[in-house]
Amino acid sequence: MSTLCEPFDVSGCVHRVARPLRTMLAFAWLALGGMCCAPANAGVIEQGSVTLLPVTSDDDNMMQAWIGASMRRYAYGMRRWLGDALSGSYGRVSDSAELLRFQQQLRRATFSHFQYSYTVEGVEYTRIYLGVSGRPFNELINPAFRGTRRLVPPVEESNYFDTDNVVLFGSVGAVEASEVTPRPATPGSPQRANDAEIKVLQAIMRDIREGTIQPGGRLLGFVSQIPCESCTAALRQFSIEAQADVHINYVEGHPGSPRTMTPALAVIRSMRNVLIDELTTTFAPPVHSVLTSAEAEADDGASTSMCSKP
Amino acid sequence: MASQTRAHRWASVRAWWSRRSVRSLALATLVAGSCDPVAAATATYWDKDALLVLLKEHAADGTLHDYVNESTDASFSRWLIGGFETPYSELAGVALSPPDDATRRAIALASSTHGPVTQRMLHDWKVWDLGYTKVDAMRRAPVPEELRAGAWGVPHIMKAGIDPDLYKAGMRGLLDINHPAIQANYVLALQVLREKLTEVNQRFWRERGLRGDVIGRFTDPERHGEPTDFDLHYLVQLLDGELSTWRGAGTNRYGFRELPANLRLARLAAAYREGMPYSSQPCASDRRYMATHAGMGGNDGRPLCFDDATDRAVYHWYTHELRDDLGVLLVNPGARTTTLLRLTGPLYTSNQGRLGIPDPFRRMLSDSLEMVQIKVANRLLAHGELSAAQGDTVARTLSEHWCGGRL
Repeated sequence: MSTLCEPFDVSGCVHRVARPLRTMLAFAWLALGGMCCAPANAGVIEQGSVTLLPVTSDDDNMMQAWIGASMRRYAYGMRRWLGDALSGSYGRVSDSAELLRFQQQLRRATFSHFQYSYTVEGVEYTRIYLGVSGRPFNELINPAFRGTRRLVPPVEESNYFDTDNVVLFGSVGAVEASEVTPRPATPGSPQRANDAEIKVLQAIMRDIREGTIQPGGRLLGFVSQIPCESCTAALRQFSIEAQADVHINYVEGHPGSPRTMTPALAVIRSMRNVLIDELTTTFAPPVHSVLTSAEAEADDGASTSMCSKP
Repeated sequence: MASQTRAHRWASVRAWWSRRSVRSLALATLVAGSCDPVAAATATYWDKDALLVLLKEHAADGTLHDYVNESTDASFSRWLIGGFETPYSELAGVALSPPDDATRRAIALASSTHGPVTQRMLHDWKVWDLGYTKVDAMRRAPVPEELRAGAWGVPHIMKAGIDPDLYKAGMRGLLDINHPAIQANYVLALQVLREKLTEVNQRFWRERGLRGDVIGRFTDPERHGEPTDFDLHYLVQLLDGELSTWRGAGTNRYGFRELPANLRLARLAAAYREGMPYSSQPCASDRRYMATHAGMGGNDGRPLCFDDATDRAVYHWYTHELRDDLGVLLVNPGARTTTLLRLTGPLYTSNQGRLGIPDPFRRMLSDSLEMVQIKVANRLLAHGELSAAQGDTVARTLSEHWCGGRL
């Protein structure tokens, strides 16, 4: 994994380079923290810390490993949901355009993998929280087809994700009196309540409030893109309220152009496209001219099944 | 020199800082700056990796599309074996075409890190990595001291490159279950974890999600406590990552060329299967397959003569075993003990290295040429050696196989 400073050497690059930077930022944090986002529990500000680490090159595959787990589990849930939704339609959509929003969701969503660890009487416990940004599946049905198709699966969406007492998907729902919330939406800015990080942080806060897990732990995250300002503020607030140390590795880069496409992001993008192509091939009819997800990406349009008509 | 390096590092950090200063300062939470903890391991990531250097050089001279489409998994097999592939197929000893420019450059690149490399060596590495070899060399090698007692299927352990203590941990405690495919998943995950812990500087273990404590709970539960449910999920997800990616071939602890993770998994499962009784021995006394008793692949559910089978064949057997294990236990929960319930749960959403959407009811094959090539392409992407558009070219060959569920 390459980050934005030079390759690690055993002579202690972190201490020589990063420590002054950390010190500088620590002062900035203390100076500005109260001004820009007053913590709910300012008295425990020293209890938590947040580290965000940009990853430009996933040389040892660790970002792919952890984020991939979240992506594939989510795609598995999506395919099962669509399978049930389309069971009355011979398991097929009439046109791949009907899947457009599902494709866009897999193409654009932030995927994250978090591990929250805490210690009780010398024994460490960890839970895995997977996060995916975006709206519920039933809101991804293309409105042009919604009326005629009536794609409504019979059971709740959460039932399509395999979760248990160790692996959970984050979901929206703030704990009462907690400030681990998204920034309020303003005109022209996107709604942040469905961000992957927010869903996970709120799920962890609920578990802490219910006593399922303990505060004072450590949150380790792997996120498919840079956390937005709203999420970064929520991460900091979480570190304060949960008295937790937070370390986030995120994939650096933007997919818009080759100039901003980092190697780490290119791999995540490739993984997304493979999932989209399989999902579409599963549910969409064969076509005369195949259009892969990668090819449809430029105008964010619908890709097709990979099956060509003879 | 040192000050130059330091100055360069500072310049790098300053450039990054200036780009993000407004956003970062406004939030005032960003503490960044760590260095690549695995630089040494990745400096020569193409070493002895024929598939990788060939793909890289064909991408460099604009012949990537033709290269990835020149053969399918099936056509490559037919060429290599000289006919229909069986679990016990021998290599036909093919004549190689004169190398094209890209192949010549791939040979030169491989030679730069490995000493003189010939086109035949490059071919042999590719054949090995795609699973067309057997365990003859391991059968001829001396049995390691730690595997002289309490171990079965030693040639398979050696080819899979599994540490003896981890292999043996796979037959004790929680993993004493006589389900070779399930045991192999957890033990290979432990092995992969140990290898990653060795590669990565200890100060970065936590931030990379590398948990050494998990190994202790399998190898020495009396001292470290019993494995937890988190450990099981953690290991399966870690292994999924390893299976879904491509790691270049090094040399394993027994001195053999490393196998790709999915083939290691298969050989390890074979080793555990060898520790269980057979109703009829599939191998003859010379360790060649007995046509009357040995499984012949496909839908033939009989055990293979693993000593005479190719890695690919053992892998296909393994996928049958795993699907059957998960399928039987899923549709018949009563067949599950509490232990099996715990061990199979995390595996239902495992992708087993197949780049696509998981499906516990299907055999998830990840050994095809097409699947391997996209993993190799992703590795090149991760190193910035392939453009996103070139990655798309390789991915398309895979995506086309989604049609008809061929992968």
